[in-house]
Amino acid sequence: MEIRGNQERNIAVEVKDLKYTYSKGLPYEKEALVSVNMLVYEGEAIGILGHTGSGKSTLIQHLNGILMPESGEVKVFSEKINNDKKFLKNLRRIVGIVFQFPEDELFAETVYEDVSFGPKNLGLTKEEIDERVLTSLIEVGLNEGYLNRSPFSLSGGEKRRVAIASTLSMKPKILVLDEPTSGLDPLGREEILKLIKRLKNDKNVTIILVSHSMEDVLFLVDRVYILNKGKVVFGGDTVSIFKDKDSIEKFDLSIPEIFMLGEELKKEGFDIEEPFRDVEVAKKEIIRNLK
Amino acid sequence: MIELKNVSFSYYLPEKVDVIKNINLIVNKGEFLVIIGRNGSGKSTLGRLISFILEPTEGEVLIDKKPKTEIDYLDIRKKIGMVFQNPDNQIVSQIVEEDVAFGLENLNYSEEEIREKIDDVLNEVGLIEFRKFPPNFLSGGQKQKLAIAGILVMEPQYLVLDEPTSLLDPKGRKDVIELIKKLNKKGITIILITHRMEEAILGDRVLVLNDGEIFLEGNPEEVFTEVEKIRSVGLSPPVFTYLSYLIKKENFNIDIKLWKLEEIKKEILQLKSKI
Repeated sequence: MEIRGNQERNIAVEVKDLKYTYSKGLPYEKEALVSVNMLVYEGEAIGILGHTGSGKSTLIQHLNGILMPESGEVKVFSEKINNDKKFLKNLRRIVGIVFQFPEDELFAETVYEDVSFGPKNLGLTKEEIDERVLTSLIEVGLNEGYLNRSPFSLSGGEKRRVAIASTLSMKPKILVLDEPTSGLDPLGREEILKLIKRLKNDKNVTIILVSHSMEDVLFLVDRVYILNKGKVVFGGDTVSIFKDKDSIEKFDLSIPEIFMLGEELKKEGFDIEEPFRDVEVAKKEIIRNLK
Repeated sequence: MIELKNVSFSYYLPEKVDVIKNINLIVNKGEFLVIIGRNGSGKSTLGRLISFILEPTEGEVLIDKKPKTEIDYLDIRKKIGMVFQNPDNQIVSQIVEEDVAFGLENLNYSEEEIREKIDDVLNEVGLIEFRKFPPNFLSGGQKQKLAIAGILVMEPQYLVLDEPTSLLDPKGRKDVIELIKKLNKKGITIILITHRMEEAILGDRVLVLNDGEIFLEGNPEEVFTEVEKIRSVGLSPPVFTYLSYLIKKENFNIDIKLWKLEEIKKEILQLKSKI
């Protein structure tokens, strides 16, 4: 398998021969991960794709020690994940996971309580906590007006953003997101995607995105790993996989139409500098060719 | 025909929240109606009102011109089926065919009749080979088709689907949409609630809901070419319609419409040839 990327960059996550079996030793044991190898560089965004049941969720739960490898190893910034309590506490500050439908995990009476819950356990002063809460809210596109509101009075998109802010308030260096846009309306989706892109570009946060949405993957991630039956069956950069019709068909993926348009226009002699990752890029490229 | 007459719906939390505000709507037999709207616009509530799961706080919902009080409730449940986002919440049995049989078992059918109906429905949704499997062996798309099968076996005239594809992978999404199209061709009225615009354009009619009211209504072409209006309520038109809008805004002569890939490609090439 081809691993691209600048070898001189720091490695944020390294997964080696990771194996995990649920209910090991019982009659209904299920091998979720057979052997997974994966490398994620600091500051890049990678996508993990695969069918329901391919092992994606099991894999991400290894990244902050919710699950421990049965065999193989997971390293985060060169440190091997182990069961030590202190280590795990620190690990969970570095790796933030936003699970699917994170708004279901909101529990407090106010947005402030929810977002401050993590930082309060870090031994920070009240000022530092407040500062983190506000910064995180602003990062997700909300403001101080939300602090005293009940999370349950918010719209679906707002709740999702509060839940993401709760993770951001821990200032994670690696952010893992499981289907962050599912169930959101189109503009809510655009906002979340732009937020994640900002975190990557402005704050150098490493992004690991699990998604069924090819549009999200194309817009956001540099490289993808495709999981099937607990194994990585494909790894490569995002644009090249969408160009590779055989792989797309083989892994039951779909090519976003906007991307296809870019490829088609290129064939017709258009000078395309940047692949059509979203409609804004498409517009820019087309207009440049029309002038 | 399902008819909503001045229908409003409010929750009390404990202060009153108006979710649906004075909606009038007719769902015709055999049509494919799509409901879109931002999170919190009232789509799901409207879907539940159409399917008689919720009762309006004001106004009334009629089925074939009759209110709920004049019809046997069991009859309504047989006529109108509802499918939700997460198939795991709708699958109740440990074996695929038992799950499909669940609804029938309380309706006094003979064993042979039940057998026959289950086989028909599993054939229809393409799951016959999995009939003896536990549902957790199925993929997301297959599970959603199983949930649909459990409704179809009741032979509904109306099928209300609330974001049935939003948790599925691309293949599952495609399969479920193909199935919905097929059921509509067979005469089942479809009411599809979705966030995916490529699904919304499949409808005969699109209803845009905003803040509990009907904001726009028409066929997909009429609705989605209103790009600014659509975006003002948290939605976005299909990607090529939006692209044509953005190009037109830069003073190029391009129509804003529901373009297919080949069509918009031709159009852009033509624009290029004119310079």
